[in-house]
Amino acid sequence: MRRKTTYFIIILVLATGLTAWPGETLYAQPATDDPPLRLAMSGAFQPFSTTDDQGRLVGFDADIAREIARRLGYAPELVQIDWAGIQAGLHSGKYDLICGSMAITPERLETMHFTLPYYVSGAQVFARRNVTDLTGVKIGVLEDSTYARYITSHPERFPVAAIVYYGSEAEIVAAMNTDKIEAFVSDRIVGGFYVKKGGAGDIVPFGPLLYEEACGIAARRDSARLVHRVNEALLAMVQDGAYERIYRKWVGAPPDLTTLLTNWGAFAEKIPPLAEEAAVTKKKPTFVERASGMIPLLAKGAVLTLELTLLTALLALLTGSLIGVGTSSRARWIKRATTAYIWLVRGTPLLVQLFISYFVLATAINRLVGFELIGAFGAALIALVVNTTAYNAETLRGGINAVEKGQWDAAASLGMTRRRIMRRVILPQAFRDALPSLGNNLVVLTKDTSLVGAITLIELTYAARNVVFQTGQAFMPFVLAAGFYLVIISLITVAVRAWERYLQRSRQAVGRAI
Amino acid sequence: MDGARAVEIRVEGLRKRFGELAVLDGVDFAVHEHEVVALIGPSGSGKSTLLRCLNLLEFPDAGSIRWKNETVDYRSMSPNELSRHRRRMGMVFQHFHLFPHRNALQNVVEGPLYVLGEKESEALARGRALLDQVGLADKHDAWPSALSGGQKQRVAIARALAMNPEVLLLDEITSALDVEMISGINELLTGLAERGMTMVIVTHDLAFARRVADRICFLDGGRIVETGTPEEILDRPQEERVREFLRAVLGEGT
Repeated sequence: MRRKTTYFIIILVLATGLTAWPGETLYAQPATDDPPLRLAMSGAFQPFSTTDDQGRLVGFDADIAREIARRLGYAPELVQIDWAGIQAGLHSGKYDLICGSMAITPERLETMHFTLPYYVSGAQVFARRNVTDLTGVKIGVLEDSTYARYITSHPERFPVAAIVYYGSEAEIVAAMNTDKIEAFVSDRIVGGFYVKKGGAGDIVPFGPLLYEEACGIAARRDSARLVHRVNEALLAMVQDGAYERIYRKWVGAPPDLTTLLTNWGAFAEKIPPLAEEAAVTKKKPTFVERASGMIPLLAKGAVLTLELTLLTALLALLTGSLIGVGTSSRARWIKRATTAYIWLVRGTPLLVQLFISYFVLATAINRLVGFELIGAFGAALIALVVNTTAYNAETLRGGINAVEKGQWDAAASLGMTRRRIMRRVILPQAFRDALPSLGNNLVVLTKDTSLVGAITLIELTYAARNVVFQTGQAFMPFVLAAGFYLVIISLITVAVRAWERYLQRSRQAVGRAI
Repeated sequence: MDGARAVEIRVEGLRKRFGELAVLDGVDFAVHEHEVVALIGPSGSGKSTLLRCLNLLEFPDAGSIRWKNETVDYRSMSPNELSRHRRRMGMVFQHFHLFPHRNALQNVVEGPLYVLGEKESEALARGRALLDQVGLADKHDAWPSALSGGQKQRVAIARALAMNPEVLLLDEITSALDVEMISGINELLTGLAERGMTMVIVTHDLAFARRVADRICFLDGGRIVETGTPEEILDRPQEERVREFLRAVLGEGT
């Protein structure tokens, strides 16, 4: 008995200490009484989920989530998270359910359990009133959505000029408003909401419904019991009219219960058996098996990361030296221009520079030359070089200023010109002393390349996120990605150290004496 | 001073201010061929600044500089003209200022290779000979950081000589050295003087000045107060300011 209590305390302590540790099995319920039920949604999908003026989550999804939690005897805790990360959050135990208008698809069923559909809707094209044909039109769609997959797999129905991916429905509306796109595909209810509200300009539904789809509440594969309890609650809500009340409140029309029930019938065989819970945990693949399946994709991302890092490092060392030397130029305009450059670049975030390079600079140049001269890779390289140049220049400027004044005197007394003194005497010493800091800039750069995912390049971090989407596992891809970064940065560090030792050889002679 | 010797460099009415401070306040000064001139005086009297104005490491505010018979128009010189003027005079500094990233031989051949454009084999041969001459036959490949103060100063002297200067400017070159190093350097300079090298020496070492200098100039407050042979200045100074200085330095007659 005593021993049992001791074990219990140890396990409790371990579990509490490890709650931050992502992973299905270690995810522990807090030991306090009545834990809340945590449900996630994007908060950017009107009228299903959005936020009110106090930042609270409201909408159809939010009300359904609260009602289910109440009926199951939990306090509801609604979590707002980006659509792009919503599955990773579920798998890593940040919340228990996704109640965020997630369509039930075969791929998603492979990594998650779904409850019975809690509403049935469909995909619909919406376009400006003057659009009569989708040929040559730019069409917007939510990334990693069923709509996006539909468009790309039906090119014959979408002879569009370009498909533009956005992170949220709200961004699509903004894009419609700023003429970036002329049409978009979305949920028919969501789009209908904007048609009514007029927030996206003068738009109308275009053509018939593309397909019908049912949205369910997603759960981890270890929560079959929870799925069953939610199903019971949904059933009760439909029976006692609570469901219809919530539906009318947000959609503005009565729900088509016949369609909903037909979908329930169709879904019945996909309801997870309760016994599966044990089976799933038993036939889990080993660590190595899971890791090796992910490595090819991650390695591809790592190669891109390495390419960007090394190319940028090389170019930014040259340009950084030029700008750094420029800051101590006697010509006032060079001094001012280089100082202004460093001020401008260091004063703005790299992400903003990436967007400017990609959306503004590259676009302008491509328009000028008439073909795509600078793609995403070129734009990323430009932004990274521009950014790292400023940091290298600033580092080198410090090194130049730190070189003893007497070195200038000595070199000048030999008749060396200013330029030659800089090149032969000052710069080698400045570079030698600045190399540790330049190496640090390089390490920072390596990690900064993770931002280029924002302009569609699938580098290491983005690749890890893609693996999360594909496998539904959050822990392994990110840990592996971290491992790749560590390897790359370790190699860089070792190389820079070796170079440092070589340049410092003139000092080692007295290393012991000092 | 026999008037027959040609003038190497002559300055007249030289003025230089650092902010409010007049470091040189109208200096007339000349160095003749094969002459060794010692500049002495209290700290801040302008000795070093005068030296640095001669090879234009500092630009004077006013006054004229003549090299042999030509006027040095330091107000409008091209970088090449400035370079040419500076390399006529070799300079050695109190704190050596060797290039720390180059070994002894590389320090010596830097000027010949990259300013005079000598052939590498030639420059290296001459550099080795110079290092041998200053007593560093076994230190050609040593990094400056591995050399003692005295050895560093020998490299610095060899580096200045490698440019084949017509005048050597020495700025308190033994002040930062241990006592046992000083005599070696002084011997080296005496040897150079005997072989006819024109030198301007800023020093606090009055005994050395007496031994090596043909002429001593005493500076105070940015002016040359008195000038003469070592005996005239050190034994029979005319000016009260000089006597005061000598009493303080030599600890005599208090």
